[in-house]
Amino acid sequence: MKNKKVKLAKTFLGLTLIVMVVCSFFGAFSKPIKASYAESKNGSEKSYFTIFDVDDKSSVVFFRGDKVEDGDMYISSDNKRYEIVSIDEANKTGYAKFIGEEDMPVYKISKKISSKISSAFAEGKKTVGVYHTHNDESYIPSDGYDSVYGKGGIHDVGKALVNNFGKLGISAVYSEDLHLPHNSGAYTRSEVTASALINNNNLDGLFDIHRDSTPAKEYITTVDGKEMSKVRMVVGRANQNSAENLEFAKSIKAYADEVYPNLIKDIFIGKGNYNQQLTPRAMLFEMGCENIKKDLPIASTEPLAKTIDVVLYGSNGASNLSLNDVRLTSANGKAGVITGLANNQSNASLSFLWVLLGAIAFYFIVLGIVCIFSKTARYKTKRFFSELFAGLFVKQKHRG
Amino acid sequence: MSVSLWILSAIIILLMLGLGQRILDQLRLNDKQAIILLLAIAIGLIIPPIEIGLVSFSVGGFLIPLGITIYLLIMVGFSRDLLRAIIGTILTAGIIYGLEWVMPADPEELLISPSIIYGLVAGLVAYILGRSRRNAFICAVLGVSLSQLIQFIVNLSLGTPTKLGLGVGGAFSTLIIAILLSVALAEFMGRAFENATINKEIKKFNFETSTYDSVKNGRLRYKTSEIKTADAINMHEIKNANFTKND
Repeated sequence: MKNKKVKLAKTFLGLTLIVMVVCSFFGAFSKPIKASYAESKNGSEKSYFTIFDVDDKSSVVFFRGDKVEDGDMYISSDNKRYEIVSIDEANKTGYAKFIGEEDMPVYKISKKISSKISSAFAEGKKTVGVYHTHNDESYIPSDGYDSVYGKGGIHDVGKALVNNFGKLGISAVYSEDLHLPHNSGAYTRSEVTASALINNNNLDGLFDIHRDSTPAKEYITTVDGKEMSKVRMVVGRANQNSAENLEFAKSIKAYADEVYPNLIKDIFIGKGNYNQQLTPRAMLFEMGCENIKKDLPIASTEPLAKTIDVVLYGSNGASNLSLNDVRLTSANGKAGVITGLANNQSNASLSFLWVLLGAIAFYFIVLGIVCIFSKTARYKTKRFFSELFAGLFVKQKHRG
Repeated sequence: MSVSLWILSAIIILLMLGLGQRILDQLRLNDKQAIILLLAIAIGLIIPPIEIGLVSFSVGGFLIPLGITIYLLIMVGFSRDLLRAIIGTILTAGIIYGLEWVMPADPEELLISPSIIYGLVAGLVAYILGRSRRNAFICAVLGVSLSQLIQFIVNLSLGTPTKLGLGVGGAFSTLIIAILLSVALAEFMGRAFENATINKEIKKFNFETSTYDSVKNGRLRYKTSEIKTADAINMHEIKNANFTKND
């Protein structure tokens, strides 16, 4: 009998090891070092979703490389809000319904300004974080593949953005930590990096740099006579910071539309967190797509960095280089002031503190209500606190 | 504030109200110890993760659950239960690792966050393989951590070292959900099986009246020595049942 059990245990252990080996080979070991993720996308199968207007079925609203779901929102380049109403997964098509004109932030600005007003931020006080959740993403015309098991071409774009931040006096903390493979666990792994960036630095903004996979013509543009790539912003709608992140995205788009027209493609509001639950000023940028030259998204990092500089730090904190591209105007003709979002007190830690205080208050309210109605709860609560504080607050009875 | 922190807060409140005491008894913890441990996990989360080279781990999200696991493993001792815990851990890890590849890579394709899905699946697997509350806890904690370790080793072997964040960020949600689900399943399913066993055992056909005598209708009489499955059946419930002893 005992032998039978030992045999059974050994068989079980053997099967376990086989499952482990199969899982390992099913995972990374069986993958080639290059083009691991992209191969499935580059076959005869169309690799992107095409979303049409439900009222005008021949009109394309937008393309997107990643999956689009019912209920997702989209703000187009001309600030029209659409809601996705149906998706045909087999044909990778869908329909979006026009909801209305999006209420965008207004920047009273135009042309150029020559002098800087004053700087509220000392050198080195302006800090942002940059990282890549999908390190493998690359650009076929420049890198030769669209995905690599390692640091892809997207890292060159990230470095360019960090350099441009540096020119504007912004200290950009750049993490090149890998979160491979490009599977469903990538965001779980990159959350560690994003949390570390936030915990170890007093960040004013956190940027996750990606690239999309749509037709090339969707992203190629010209800004101030220079050919570059458009930038798409992605906002997650499944977290508590969603509204503030969307405001951040809309501010970036509104400013860029005035100063660098055509730079910002659109805003996609999709399911998921994208690590944006960590801070209200986190943003995911899609820097072009895999079928364009890497030089194009690299070129667009300069106006993007300048836009972020002004949007985050305002006219008082932004660099001269950023403000040289814009003239601030107001109703009375005097120089106006842009208030930067970094001056806004509603930051991540404050939000968290309020939520924590709210949770504690909620706990005591619930406990109080339960204690009113339940004698047992009153007794147990009293006993718990009495024992927790070793009877410190309990009135001692004097024995005669 | 993440979902897991909300769940953790809710559990602390429930424990303060005296609920879940049975689960804790089986884990060899009393309710005060459990509340202190859960509070320690919550406070431990405020402490920034400790980083040693490529490995970082959270005090509340990993060290404290690991400490409880080691305590439980010592309580289990070298037995068949230990073998079950080890096999359960390996399989839980293997399934989560496989799941990372099976599930869609982009978060917009999932209804809920991947870390919560991993937690739910890990909890279910840990219950099925662990069966007991202690084993379910061990399988959940070690299985989730081992799956992360496997990916870390795979990446190291491919020359693309990544960081290993134990109980940090999304891994914390996975761990907490896996623990709570597996232990709760072990408790409630265990109780359901116990009830089914009692009903099955304490029910006999009476040839004189051509009906079933049971503890429920008060007609079944047992000798104490006849209760052969006393260990399997909850003695507390038997004592409270309405039957009398034969002398």
